[in-house]
Amino acid sequence: MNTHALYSSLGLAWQLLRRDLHERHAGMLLGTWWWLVQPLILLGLYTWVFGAVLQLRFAPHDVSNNFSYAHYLFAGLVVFNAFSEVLTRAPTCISDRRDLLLNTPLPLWILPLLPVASSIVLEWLGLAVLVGVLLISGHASWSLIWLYWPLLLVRLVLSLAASYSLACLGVFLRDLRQIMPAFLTVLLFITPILYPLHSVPADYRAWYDWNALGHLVQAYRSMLFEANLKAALLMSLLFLASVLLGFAALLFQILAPRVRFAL
Amino acid sequence: MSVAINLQQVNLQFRHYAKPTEVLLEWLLRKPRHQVFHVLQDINLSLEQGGSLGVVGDNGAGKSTFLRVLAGNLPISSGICEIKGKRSALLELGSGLQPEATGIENIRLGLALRGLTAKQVEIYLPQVESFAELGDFIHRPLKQYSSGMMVRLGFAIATVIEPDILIIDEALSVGDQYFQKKSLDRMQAILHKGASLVFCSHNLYQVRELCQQAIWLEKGRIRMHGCAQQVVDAYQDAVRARQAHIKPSFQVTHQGQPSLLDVILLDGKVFTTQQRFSVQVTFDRAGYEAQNVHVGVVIRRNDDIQCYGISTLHDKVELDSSSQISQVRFVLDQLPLLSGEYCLEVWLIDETGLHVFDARERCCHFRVQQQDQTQGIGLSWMAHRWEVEAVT
Repeated sequence: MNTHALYSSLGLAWQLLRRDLHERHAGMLLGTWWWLVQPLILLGLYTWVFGAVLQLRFAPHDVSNNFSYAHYLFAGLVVFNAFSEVLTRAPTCISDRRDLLLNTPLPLWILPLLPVASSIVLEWLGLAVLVGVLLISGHASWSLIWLYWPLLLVRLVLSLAASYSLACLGVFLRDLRQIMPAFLTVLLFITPILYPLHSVPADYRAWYDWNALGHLVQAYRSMLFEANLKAALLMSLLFLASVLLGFAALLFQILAPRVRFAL
Repeated sequence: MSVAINLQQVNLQFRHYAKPTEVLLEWLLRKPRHQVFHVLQDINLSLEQGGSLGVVGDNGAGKSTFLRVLAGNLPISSGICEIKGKRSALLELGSGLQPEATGIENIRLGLALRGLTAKQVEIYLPQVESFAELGDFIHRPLKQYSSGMMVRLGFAIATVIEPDILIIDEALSVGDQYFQKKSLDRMQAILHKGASLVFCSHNLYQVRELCQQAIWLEKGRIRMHGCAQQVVDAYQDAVRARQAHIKPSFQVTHQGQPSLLDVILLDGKVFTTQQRFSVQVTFDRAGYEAQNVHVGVVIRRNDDIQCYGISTLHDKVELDSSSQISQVRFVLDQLPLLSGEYCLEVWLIDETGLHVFDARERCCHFRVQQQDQTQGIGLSWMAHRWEVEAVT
């Protein structure tokens, strides 16, 4: 593919993304504010139920802990929401654009990029709020500016793997779009987002090692609250995510020519 | 001149699956689980740069699929499909446009889809806006547009980048007269700049006017390929022949429209000036009252000059009212036409003369020969006399 074609394809992806972001909340009273309002409502709800009612604490051993339950929860939710954006949108991202695919030379490979791109927007909005809060209370470290990018890279490779495989499978398995919300609820509870990992009884702890998202959430928290980059963990996560992305790309390549028959 | 479009033995099959899941199962189990439809078969065609190609055919003949292949939206199953240059397509009404998006957003998307970078899109945006002439509607979502407005927008997007190959589907006929004229002018201007045009329309007149060559598609194959005039004529003949074969049944006729069943010349196809000429028109009143259905006949020379036209309405002829299917003969005892190639137009009109039930254009071709120049020159013999007198 020559550079001009790549350029115009990316331009096209940009136009589609713009439409996508705008269309989601167009005509609603709060409009684009829904991007913030929705996660904040959930944050408030979870903080009240788990922090105030159930009295969960994330760092009980640390006496001089500056961060509350809400901080940890919010950090976890930012990653989780970004990821769930990919998982819910990816299965329909191709079939939603049936008309464009059949009537215009729209390249198929652009479409799974869109859920990933909008997840970045979501993540950045969330992080902006969180870092804003940290700055006000004087707990933000300037090193976050460069510590963040390796984490984002791992998160994106993982999201791309999920997006490409779900996007092409979603065309043929229409059930996926029904399954995803239920799966996400399960994922939210089996990942240490609402509760700290150390509160999990030792018997179950081994299962948690298999949850890549859980590791990623932990890495985000260490980065945000301790300015600590867990390099070894990130490298292995990146390796895993790259292998998954390889498989996803292969699957996409095999299924892409057949997509037309199922639209 | 270089070749812009080169198709060799192009086949296109479409696979039909009962459910989307079947596609996945087929891949996993390695066993065919689909029915094959041959949408296009054995298409061979080449169009030179700057050439124009009309596409005619019945619904479902594969015209739209053919245009999609040319537009690069559909991969072919086998054969060679080479298309040189930037192409831009305006396919069926509203396709490729987003109903929820505003006009402006659709322009941006449409231009990006045609391979423009973000910078180029902003350059062309005002041009599309001014050509489409949609006023404030350009900022409203497309679902509020009328079909004519949709065509304006679609056409403006498709033609603004001045493609090397312009592909237009029948959509145009929806626009109003003003915009149809404007868009035809634009198409002609693009053609004059050396671009190629592929044009598909049920408006056969436009196909004939705009295109040099044409193809007639039938059941996914090229039935005829040649100069536009010939192909369109042949297609029209076939459509008429088919209409004539439909035997009227009395249960349906009273709901249907009166139609021409047959038009024949009774005295051969070659005439001599002053000879008897007659044409017999058979038609079906389809339940209409006899006084509400009239027959008109126009004689045209092959350079499109109307020689004479008259109808039973204007001559106040009473048609037969005893049966649904009646005949009327138009007779000239002494044909005044001079030598030339002629044909007929036959019209079935209502009692106001404004509504046309059915028509046959360019039918019953016939030739007129003169014995010699003593019958004069020109179009028609005119009743005349010479008056001679001496001037003193």
